[in-house]
Amino acid sequence: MTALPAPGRAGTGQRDALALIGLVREAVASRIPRHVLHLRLARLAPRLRHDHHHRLVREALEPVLRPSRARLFELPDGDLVVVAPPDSPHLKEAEAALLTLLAMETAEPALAVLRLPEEAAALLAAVEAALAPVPAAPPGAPEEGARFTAARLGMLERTLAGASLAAFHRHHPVCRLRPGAERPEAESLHLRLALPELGAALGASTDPATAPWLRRRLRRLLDRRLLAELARPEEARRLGPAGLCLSVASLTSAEFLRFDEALGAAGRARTTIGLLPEDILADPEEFAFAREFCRARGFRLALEATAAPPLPLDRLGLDLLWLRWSPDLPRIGESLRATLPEDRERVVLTGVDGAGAIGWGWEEGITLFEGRLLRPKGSSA
Amino acid sequence: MTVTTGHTGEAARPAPALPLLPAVRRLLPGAAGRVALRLPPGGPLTGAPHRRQVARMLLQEAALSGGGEVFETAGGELLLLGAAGPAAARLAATLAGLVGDAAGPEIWRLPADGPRLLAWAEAASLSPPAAPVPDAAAPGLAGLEPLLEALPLDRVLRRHAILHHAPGAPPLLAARRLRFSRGALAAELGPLAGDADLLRHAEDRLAATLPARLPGPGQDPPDGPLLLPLPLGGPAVPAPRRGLVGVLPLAAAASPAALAATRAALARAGWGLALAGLDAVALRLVPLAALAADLLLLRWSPAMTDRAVVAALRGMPAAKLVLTGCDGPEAMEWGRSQGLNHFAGPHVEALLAAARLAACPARSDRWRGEGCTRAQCAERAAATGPIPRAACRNPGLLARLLPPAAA
Repeated sequence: MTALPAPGRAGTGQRDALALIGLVREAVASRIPRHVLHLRLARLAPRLRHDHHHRLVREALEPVLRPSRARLFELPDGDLVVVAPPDSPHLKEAEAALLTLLAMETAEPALAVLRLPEEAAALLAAVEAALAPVPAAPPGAPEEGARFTAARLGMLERTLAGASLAAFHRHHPVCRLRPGAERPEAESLHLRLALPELGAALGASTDPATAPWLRRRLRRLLDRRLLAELARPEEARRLGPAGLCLSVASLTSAEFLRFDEALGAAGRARTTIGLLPEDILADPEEFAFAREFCRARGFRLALEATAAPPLPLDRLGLDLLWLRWSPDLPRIGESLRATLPEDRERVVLTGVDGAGAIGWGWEEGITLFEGRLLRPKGSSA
Repeated sequence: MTVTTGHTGEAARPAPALPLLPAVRRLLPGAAGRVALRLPPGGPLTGAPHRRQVARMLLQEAALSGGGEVFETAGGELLLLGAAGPAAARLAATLAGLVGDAAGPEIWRLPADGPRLLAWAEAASLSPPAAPVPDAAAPGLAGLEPLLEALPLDRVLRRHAILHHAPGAPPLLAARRLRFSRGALAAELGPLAGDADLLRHAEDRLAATLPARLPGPGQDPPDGPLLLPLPLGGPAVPAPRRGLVGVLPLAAAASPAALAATRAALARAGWGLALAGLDAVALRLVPLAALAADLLLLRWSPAMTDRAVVAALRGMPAAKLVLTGCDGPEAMEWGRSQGLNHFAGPHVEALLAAARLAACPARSDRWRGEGCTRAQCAERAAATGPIPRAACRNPGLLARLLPPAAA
């Protein structure tokens, strides 16, 4: 595959795309790092897509491909993808050359530099887009092919069994940010799994939301993996004030009991468990049992809600509300306000992605925010 | 602290039952002035494996701080022997709290209660090594959907009555309800049904096909509403047909906006919407008045008589409430005392079967030794397949569920 392809060979494109998907999955499973150059030639203005440009591109890539273990893939839509070991000096040179070459007069960047396994999802999304432009799904019942089935879940479970999930753990800081304050103060860290990325990397093209009970089973499996990871002594020791969203069933699993033990009393008091309304309502009795157990162990509990929480916090007997930000929240202000706990110290606005969210939070008296974009004081990240 | 079970290494064969008595005899002399704490089998703390695991962990931790040894018996009991009194009391309070103060543990003071402990230990044996928890990929997941597609509905679909019984009025058949029998479905699914989520997924998939495969009017005369399950995962907007009521599990209320949209879409097709699964615990959590549904299916248990539960029902219109799972006269008595007048459950099925038999022209056959029993009649009425129903010689009455003049 190191021979440079002539443009427009559809069969090659299909084969290359599938080979690339396989390589990305291997990289995710083995966690061997790779650098990727994605040349979005399909996006170039027509006048830049002449043979002349293709020749220039190939010339720029030659030094990367010749001596190293780099591989070139041609996607069906004409995009080129180069996958190389991370420290290849030739890759840097090629990148520079291509940037000069392709930066000309393109509205969108025609060159993307990605890292594997961290950015596997983005790359796979690009490959999928190249393979088949997906038409918008019609409203109503999902088509048979789009439905998340037990067979698909079985495949996912087998893939998961062999893959490390560490690349999909996300640490979202929770910060105290008051109006007029200079910088956010770090309060705790929410540990989350990047589910869309994970799904994409595993090749799950269908949304588990179309089969809520199967999704529950999948979440239980992912919870167990995360808890097993966190229960390792060095991980548990390192864990400061933290929050994690778990399914109700996971709170009585053997993995949770080991996590509980590894944390010790002090660690448990620093840890908040977030629960989803659909989990609580699916089995209220199990929820009540798990809630009392977590309380007896010293954990704090939160309701993780999108939009107006369907259940009042006090009636549920939970401590905190993790309210997910969406631009719709200001619109439902009045009905939402009625369900927020009066003590706004008990509310964390999560998924905060910009000033609009923080501004709305302040209007509502909320000063605790969670989001990937928040950079607390003293943070180097 | 040590934990003793019948572990005998990596034995693949089932280990022989180890008696508990020698260990109790050994520890008893040293436990004077201390207590033994026992969790009876099959209780809210020991009935399900995951809960027993939690309880055992709490016992072990109490043993760590307050002394003693933990034993698990083959019968699913847990024993903490030789704990200090105060530690055991704290543990007992924690355990009772987990199950809403339902059933706390039994505490034996030593040496006074020693004979009782010995008498119990004599019959008990230690639990065999715990079977490894089945992890990750359950074999046969891929076979689930094909199995469901090939499954004749009448193997798992049952019909139940909802009875209107108001004070001073004759009982009336208010509605019929189709639902999947969990037991029958679990038998079809085999080991996959061990996972409750897979079982509910199977119900969802079958429910998605149900509107197109309803039993005919011969079984369900169109003389009243018919309740039928809807899938939780994006209930499809059903074909317009009046008199149908879709039933969703309570989890559908997790998104009030989506629930309201579903209800509106159903209403446009002439359907009503019911929410099921409102048990005693749910009634403490969910404000009923806020639920966007036409019918609320309450689930009877003795815990319903709790004051907080009763308070949750106050002010709700009786026409919107159905008490399901009535397993005896006390359930209906309690319901009526709360102003409820719609009932369902095994007790209702038995009442209806008795009323049918009393009105059945073939009833005299019973005295010739050929007649039907009440259980047979109830079973045939619940069946949705032709074979069990064919045994009835009065199918018209069977389909009506309740004879017209029954009072």
